[in-house]
Amino acid sequence: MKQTQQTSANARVRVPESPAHDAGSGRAQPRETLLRLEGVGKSYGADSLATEALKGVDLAIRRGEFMTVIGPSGCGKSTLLQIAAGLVTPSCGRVMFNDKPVNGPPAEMVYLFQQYTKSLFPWRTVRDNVAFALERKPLGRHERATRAAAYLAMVGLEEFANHYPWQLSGGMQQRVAIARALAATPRVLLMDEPFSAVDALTRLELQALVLDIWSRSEDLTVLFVTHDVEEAVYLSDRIAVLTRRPSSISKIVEPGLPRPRHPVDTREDPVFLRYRHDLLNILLDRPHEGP
Amino acid sequence: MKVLRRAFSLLPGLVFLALVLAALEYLTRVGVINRALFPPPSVVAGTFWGLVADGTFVRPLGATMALFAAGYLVAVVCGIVLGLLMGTSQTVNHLLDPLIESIRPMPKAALVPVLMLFLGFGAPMMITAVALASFFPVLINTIQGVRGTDSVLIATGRTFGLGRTAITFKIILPAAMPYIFAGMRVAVGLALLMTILTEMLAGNSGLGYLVLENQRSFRIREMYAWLVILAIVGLLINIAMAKVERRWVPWLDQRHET
Repeated sequence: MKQTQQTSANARVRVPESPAHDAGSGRAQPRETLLRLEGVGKSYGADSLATEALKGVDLAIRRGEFMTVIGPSGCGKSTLLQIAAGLVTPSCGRVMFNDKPVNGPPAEMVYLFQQYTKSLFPWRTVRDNVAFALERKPLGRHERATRAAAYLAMVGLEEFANHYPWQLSGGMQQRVAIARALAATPRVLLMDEPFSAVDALTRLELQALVLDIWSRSEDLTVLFVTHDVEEAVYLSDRIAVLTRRPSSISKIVEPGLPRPRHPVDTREDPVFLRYRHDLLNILLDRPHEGP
Repeated sequence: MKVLRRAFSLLPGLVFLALVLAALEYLTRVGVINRALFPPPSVVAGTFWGLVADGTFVRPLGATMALFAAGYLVAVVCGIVLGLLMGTSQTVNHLLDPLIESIRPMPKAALVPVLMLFLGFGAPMMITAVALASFFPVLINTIQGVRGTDSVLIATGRTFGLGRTAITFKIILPAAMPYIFAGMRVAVGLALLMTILTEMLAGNSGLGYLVLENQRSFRIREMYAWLVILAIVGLLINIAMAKVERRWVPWLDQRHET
């Protein structure tokens, strides 16, 4: 049963009314690995001045799952994501997507940038920004505009199609960026702290929007990066914890919170609180005390 | 309402201009300024009106504009194309930069005699001179705009599967547009300058030719009347540029505000 949650232009996200999935599992069950990082390392500079950002990162992302990578700031989370996206070449190790090595941005992966103001094209209207993702597909101009409008409707911005990005608020701009990413019909969406630059309430709304879109598209895989533990626990099926530099994956947890998640209630769930507690302790380097 | 406010903001400047003209009128009429060298503005206005009313101005203006437009167009096209190449390719940049930097600082007027040696006194020489004079600001600004393109914009193009060429034309070129326009605005002034200069040196028609010719024949009123036409032309070109810029880079104003 599909959720039919709609979001309006002024971004009030309604609470999901019906459970879309079996409680406790992200999706219909164990699936094969879609994206795999094998012994990925990255260092910058040379010789004595070299800094090692990542060291021996192994990570397997399953098809259709929502996976989050958390870590202290400056630990190379974004670098890790850019390597996964084929935007940055790792110093060692490799990335496998669909059992093929990644040597450049694959057509089926789209990277969503934290800096939406820099990622949207100021010379294009909101509609044309979304249509950008459709331009490599063999579509007529009319068909492109229609599809762009459909993706804008998905993020509740159909009324703003003729605006320019800089005429919109930060949260709305990131919605445009999300619509553009979705328009490329990716199998994997890589999200780099996408909500860190918007206000707290807008962040909750955008989180709900992303979960909604993800749950409605059966096969979409999300790899999400954040330093916000609550965000990670709220959104994810699984959470990978990155250590300080040189970073590697220290732990992967699977809280198993029921879906659909509720922006308020889920955050009060004992399971949510326990994982938030544990993960915060890990990130803050405090001696572990169980709840 | 907006138009009214705008007109209002122009008012003090226009009043001052009128006062300056009135002062000149008075000073020439009482003989403080030699009328033979500077006729009263009202007399120049009469001559100016004569040129405009019987259509005398059309042909020389057409000749000047054709030369200006041809040279400017060559400069803009070459400047943008070469700027894109030099901005995106290290190899091209290393190859051409020393040559560019050795010609660029030279006052282009000094190159007109050289051009005359090779191209004679006709339109090819004049167009080349105008193009040469206005080419460099476009080139330099294009290179700067291309290099200044935000890396996130380029990475966005890559994640959506664009190749090098597509990124150049769909992302780098529009992103560099504000810089390119700034260069084009500087280039307009230089192109007009060189247009008038080559007409004076080698022309047999056009506004520059007429200004010098009338001065040499001591038709001082006519000379000033043609200068007035030239001033109006310059003003109109600048207004047109501002209009085009607002249309092509509408996000520029916004960026400046934030």
